[in-house]
Amino acid sequence: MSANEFERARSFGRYIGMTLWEVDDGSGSPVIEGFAPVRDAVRGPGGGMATGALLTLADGLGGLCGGLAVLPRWVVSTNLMLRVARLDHVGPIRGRARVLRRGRNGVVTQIELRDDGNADALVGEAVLTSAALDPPEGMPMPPRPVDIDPGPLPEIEGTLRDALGIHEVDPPDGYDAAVRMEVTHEVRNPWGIVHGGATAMVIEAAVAVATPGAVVTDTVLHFLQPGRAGPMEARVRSIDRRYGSVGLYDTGAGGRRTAAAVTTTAG
Amino acid sequence: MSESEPDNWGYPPERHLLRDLRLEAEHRPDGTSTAWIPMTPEVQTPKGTPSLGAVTTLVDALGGGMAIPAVLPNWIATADLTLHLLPGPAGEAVEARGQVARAGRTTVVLEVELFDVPSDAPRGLATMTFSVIERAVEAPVWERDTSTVTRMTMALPGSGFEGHMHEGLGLEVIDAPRGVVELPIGDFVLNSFRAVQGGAFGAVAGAAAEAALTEACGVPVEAVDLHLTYLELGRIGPLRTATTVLRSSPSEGAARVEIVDTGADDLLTTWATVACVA
Repeated sequence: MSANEFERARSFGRYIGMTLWEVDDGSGSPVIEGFAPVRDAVRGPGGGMATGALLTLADGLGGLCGGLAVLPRWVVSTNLMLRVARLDHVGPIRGRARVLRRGRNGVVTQIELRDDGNADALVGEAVLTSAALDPPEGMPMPPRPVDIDPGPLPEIEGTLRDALGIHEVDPPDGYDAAVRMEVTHEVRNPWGIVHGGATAMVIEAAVAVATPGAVVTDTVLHFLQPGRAGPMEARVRSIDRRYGSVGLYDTGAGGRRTAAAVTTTAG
Repeated sequence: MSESEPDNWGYPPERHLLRDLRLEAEHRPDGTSTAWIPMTPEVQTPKGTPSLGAVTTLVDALGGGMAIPAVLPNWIATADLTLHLLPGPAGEAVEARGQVARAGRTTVVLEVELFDVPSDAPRGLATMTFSVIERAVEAPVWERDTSTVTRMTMALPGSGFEGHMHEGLGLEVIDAPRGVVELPIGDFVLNSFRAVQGGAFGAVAGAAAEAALTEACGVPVEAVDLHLTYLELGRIGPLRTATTVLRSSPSEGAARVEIVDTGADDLLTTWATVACVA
């Protein structure tokens, strides 16, 4: 299996054109660099790459970095935190992930995102915490050094949110907004689990419904359980206009909660 | 912070962060818990918003008391803490209501809602992640009866800060524009493992970000939003911050704060980002 086949099979990141490669910085720990273009389909209300897409890029960079750090085991993301520095981007967005801490049962990576088209202006910083686990039988392992080209970008009419079929639904009692996303092959990873990037995008979409005109800036995203069946429903409770408390539920699996997030909005 | 923790080094001493905050907690058999700290001026910002450090300590203490029974006979290590406060004058107290969002084989995730007392107005949100670890021999004996409601406080008669909480902690701003802050490590901030309380890191990160962002934003700012990842224990001290401004405007800003233990070869203990508002 080539590196490209490995990543294409593994990653929802191809939707944002995520290109990744491994760097040897002499530290002995893996470093992953990469980029993604800022095309119209992924632009948010701030003018640049939407925060859901930035989270997808951060998850891809940090996840691959963390996975390589714990080989022959692999990782599953447990917590992703993003602080956005600016919302207007020229693109492409360039990222670099490095290991902050590698423990027996997990790894913490830091991801820096910069705007390649705007003199490397800081776009944001993220921290991804991942749990180490024995990889599922048959999981492909990447050839080293990793060098991944996502291939041609998928054709998208409208926004990526439209392409994923994310749509507003009536929120249950106690919530201010809700959106749904069908779970198709396109949003699953090879183990049938809804990808972290798709999770981030549906959460951002729900917050956009709850606070029209506002832009999600900072996000804390806890991955609680795998989402498999779908549809996935993101439900928002707004705490003032500044914060949103978001739960993601797998309505096809007894409504179990698969993710919890706190978002900060501006505007 | 269980009442049944052994007095192996006299923990907590008579003057201790958790005592002076006058923190009170109630744990219930259904796994939910509530904790309170009174909102005196010593634990507020100049504008009256609850201090980030005080509320971080409240959340951290509440979370520990909830996560341990969820993993027994194993033990926990705090992995991360996030806190999202609404700015504005505090009420008489801040109430934290916690529930377990996930208790798995390797991690426990808690969610905490924060309210003003007595208005019951929302004050914010918090989350915590704990890694489940094997119980070390030196871990405190934990014997709280989880089948009944337990209400407890560490406050003693006379507990309470005499000056601002940051003075009580001994926080010293070394270089405000660069966000360099130091915290000496003494018994006042140690937990039962003789490492710095998780909540104290919130105070350090908040103070460092406020110092740097007040300069960068051009107006006084107060810390309201914290993303904190615990990497290593702080044991020797002083703790020292390195701060990088991520964004700034006249209305708000955000900064990254790295906290090292200068007495342990600048060991990186904590990675935080903090958002502040004017």
